[in-house]
Amino acid sequence: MHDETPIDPRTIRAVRRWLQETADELPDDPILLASIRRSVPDRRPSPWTRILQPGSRRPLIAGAIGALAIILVGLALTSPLRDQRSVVGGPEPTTTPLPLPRGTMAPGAYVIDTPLVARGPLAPDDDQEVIVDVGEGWRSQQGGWILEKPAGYPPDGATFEWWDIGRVYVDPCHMSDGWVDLPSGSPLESLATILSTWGATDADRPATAPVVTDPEFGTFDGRPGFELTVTPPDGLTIGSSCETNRYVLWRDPVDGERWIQGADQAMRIRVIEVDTDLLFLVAGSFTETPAEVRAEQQAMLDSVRIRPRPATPSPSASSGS
Amino acid sequence: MGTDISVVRRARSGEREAFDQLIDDCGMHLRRIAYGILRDRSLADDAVQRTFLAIWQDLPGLREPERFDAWSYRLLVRACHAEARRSPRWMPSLSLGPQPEPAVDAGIVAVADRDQLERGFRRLSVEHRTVIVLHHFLDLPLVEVAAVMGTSPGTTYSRMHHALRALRAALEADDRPAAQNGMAQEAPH
Repeated sequence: MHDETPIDPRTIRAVRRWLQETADELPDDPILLASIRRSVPDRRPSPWTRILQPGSRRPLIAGAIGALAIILVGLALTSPLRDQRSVVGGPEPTTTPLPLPRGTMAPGAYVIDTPLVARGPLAPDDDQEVIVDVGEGWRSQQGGWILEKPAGYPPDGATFEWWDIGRVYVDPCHMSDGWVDLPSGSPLESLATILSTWGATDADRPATAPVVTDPEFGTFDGRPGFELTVTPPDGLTIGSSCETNRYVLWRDPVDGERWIQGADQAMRIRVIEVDTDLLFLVAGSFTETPAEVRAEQQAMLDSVRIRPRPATPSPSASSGS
Repeated sequence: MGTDISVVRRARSGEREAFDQLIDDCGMHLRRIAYGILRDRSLADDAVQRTFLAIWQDLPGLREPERFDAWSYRLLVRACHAEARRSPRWMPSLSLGPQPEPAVDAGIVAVADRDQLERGFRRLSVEHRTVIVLHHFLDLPLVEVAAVMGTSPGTTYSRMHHALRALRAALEADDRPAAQNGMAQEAPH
C-alpha cells in the first residue's frame, strides 16, 4: 500500500530548483570530454564478442568461432611477428608517456598530475613532469587521480596515489584535535618528522594514532627522499571510535582528503624532493592484497621518474581541422 | 536532450567522428544527471565515461535511433548505480575542480534549504535519488522513468513518494548539527 499523503507543492518546487541550481553550477569540463574520447577505442569490439557471451542463442556458431579463435591465437603465438602485434582485443600498451585516461588503462607509461595543484612537478604546467609505469589491470579512478586494482577497498584492493599535501591531521581519528599545515616548499625533513611522530594528544583516549615505521632516507630517481609505512593501530574500530566515522590522514590544498578505507589498510609512502617541492607517492594495500599486486605497486613506485616536460604544441599548430 | 538523430545513425554505423560529436553534444548533459544522482563529481565523471563506452559498444544494437536519449539515460543510470555500488565509502569530499559555490545571493533556494536538501538527498538510496532526478530534473514522465530504470510504474511511484517525503522531512528539520563533516574548525590555508 502506498502512503497517498500528498506532498506539499513547496517541497517539490524546492527540490526542483535545488536540482537545477546545483546542476547549473557544475562547470563544463572539456578535459573530461577529451579524456572520454581518448578512452573509447577507435573500433568497436567484434560482433563475435557478443555471440560468445553467455546467454547467446547461437551456441554452435559460438563454438565454431571459439575453435577458430584458438587456432588464430595459436598461429599468432607461433608467428615470428607476434612481438610486433598488439594483444587481440586488448588496449595497446603505451610506450611514450601518455596523459592518464579515466577507467581501465593499458599497461605502459603515464604522466601523472593533479590539475589544481599550483606548483611543483604535479602541476600540469610545471616545467617538469612525473612519469610512472603501470602494469596490467589497473584502473584510473577519482577523475584520473588515483589508480586502483581491482578496487581501493578491503579485503584485497590496492591503490597507487600521488598527493600534494597541504595539511596533516595530528590524530587521524580525531580531526578536531587539529592539524599541521605544510606550506609549499616545506623541507623534506620537516615532513619526515611530522609523519614519523604522528600521534594522538589526548592521554585519556584509547590509542588512535597510526603506527608509523621509521623513515628510511634514500635516493629516488637521483633525488633525496624517504619512505615509511602508516597503518591504523591494531584493534581500532574506525566506524564507532572516530569522529565522523573516518580516519583522515591528510588533506590537499584543494580540499581533497585521504581517509583510511579499512582498519587493516597500510599506506606505503614515498616522498621525493623535487627542487623545492615534495612529491608524495602512496601505495595503499590491505592484508589480503595479493603479493604479486604488492610487487606491482613497488615496481610502480620504483618506476617513478621526473623529467623535463616536453614543449606543448601551440593551439594553432595542433588544430588541423 | 534532443540529440541529432543523423549523428546517432552515423555513430551507429561505426563512424568515429560522429561518435565524438555525440560525446560533445551529450557529455555535459549526462554528467549533470550523473552528478544529480551521485552528488560526487568524480563518481559522476567515471559514470559518464562508463556510459559512453557502453554506448559505443552497444549502439549497433539500437534499432530505433529516435529512442537514443531514453536509451542513453538507461545506460547512464546503470553506470551511476554501478559507481554507487563500487564506491560507497571512497573519499566523497575529493574534488579536482572548483567546488560549486552556493548561490547565496542569486539562488532561489535558500542556502539553509540547500544544505538540508543535500543532506536529505544523500541519505536516500541511489534508486530513490534516480527517480527524483529523472522526474524532477529531466522532467521525464513517471512511466518513462520506470522504463529507464527497468521497474514497474507502481514501484517508481512508490519510490518517488518515499523520496519526496524524506526530503520534505529534511526541509522541515529545525535543528541542524553544527559540524556535519568534522570540518567546522578548519582554517583557511
